[in-house]
Amino acid sequence: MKNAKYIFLSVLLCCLLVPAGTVLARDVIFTLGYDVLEVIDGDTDSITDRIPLKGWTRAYTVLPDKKQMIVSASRHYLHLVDTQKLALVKTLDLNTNPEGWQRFEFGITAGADGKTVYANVLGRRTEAGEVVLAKPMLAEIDLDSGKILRSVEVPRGIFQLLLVNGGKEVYAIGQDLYKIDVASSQMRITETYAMFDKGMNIFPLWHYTFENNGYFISPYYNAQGCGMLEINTHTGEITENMLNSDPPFVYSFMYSPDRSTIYGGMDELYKIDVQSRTITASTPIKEGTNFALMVSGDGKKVYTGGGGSTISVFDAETLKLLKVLQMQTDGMTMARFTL
Amino acid sequence: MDAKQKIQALNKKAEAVEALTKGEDQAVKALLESGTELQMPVGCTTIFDTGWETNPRATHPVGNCQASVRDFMGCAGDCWWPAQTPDGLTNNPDYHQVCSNMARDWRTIKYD
Repeated sequence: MKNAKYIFLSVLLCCLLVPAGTVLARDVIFTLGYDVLEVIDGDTDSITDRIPLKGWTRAYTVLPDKKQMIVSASRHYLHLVDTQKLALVKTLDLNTNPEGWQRFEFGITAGADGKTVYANVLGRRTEAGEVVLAKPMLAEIDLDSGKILRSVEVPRGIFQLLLVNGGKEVYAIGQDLYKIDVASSQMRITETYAMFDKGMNIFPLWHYTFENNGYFISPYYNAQGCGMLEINTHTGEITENMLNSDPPFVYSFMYSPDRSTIYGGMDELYKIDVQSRTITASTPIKEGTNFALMVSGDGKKVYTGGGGSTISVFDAETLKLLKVLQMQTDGMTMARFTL
Repeated sequence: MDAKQKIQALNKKAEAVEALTKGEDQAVKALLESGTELQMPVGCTTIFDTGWETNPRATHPVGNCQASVRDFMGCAGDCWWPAQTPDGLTNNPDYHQVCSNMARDWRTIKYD
């Protein structure tokens, strides 16, 4: 009888906790637009908020506390956005510096301590009427003051950065991949992972490493077809896998939450079985080309958007179109926070 | 033989283009200078990203990045196609303020 009472109480507790857990798992999707971030509620697939900010957005990186992200815009603004209060916290401008450099970033990744951001920075200024170009650099920028704390010269053509190995290294990706030690006081390139000379044509402008729990994945093309470059940011391991299907033309790939499926998108939405590395389904995106895609936190929906001003919502299993959202502006990419 | 001499005008239109360019001074500079060093900005050509401009399909959509209106704002700004779209890094940094939604606002866009 005594045990029956405990069993009853345990069942009651489970009944109370399970629905509470279900309610808490809610997606908030940020679409990066023009002078604005638009916020989509993942439950209703409706636009709930708009966060004004300056510039044409290009990329985002999430701070370690997962409560804030940095959104880059016009290649020189770094907007710090509170992803819970849905508000712009502050804006850093790379062009504001006493040396008179006009600086542009092509690739950002938040530092491990949440106080700095790494950026691939190009600079230019005029001297005696002549244009002077600065050497490209990986710069660590203080999020409080906006000042460059330290830097190291890097090759040209980099446009994507990843923080790996718990913040000890930054991988800088362009035609090749450069491993940069940032744990030492003086940052330095320690290794070049060749891609261009191997015939890999890669374009990793869009990635969803934050949403994919630290797994970066990007399409590349070579003479044989389409491959997938994966980087485990927890360990730094890099793997290349060719698809065993006719090459899909995609801007980006993203894993399902259980990593059994990869979705890819551009003019079509593709579904790829990870184990066999084959395309199992595809559907044209009727709205036209899409730069980005985003799998929902529960893996049941796929959003495609960026490029034009619409977001298409698909059933992840059947690839059936569920809804088309009309956004205020055209867009570039999407970020997802599952609360 | 330089690269220009390898190209020969074969029709009247090509001959007319050649006639127009006679005596012209250099008006634009190549983004690729010094033989090997890539200059600003980065763009499609700097990463040898040719695949997206091909037409891999026999049916709709014919070509990638269709309709072009959906690709316009992404190609602008960063100067992926600086001659065809607004150059957001130098000459048209605020182009998006009058045209943030290309399908809706295309009549208002102005850039040189």
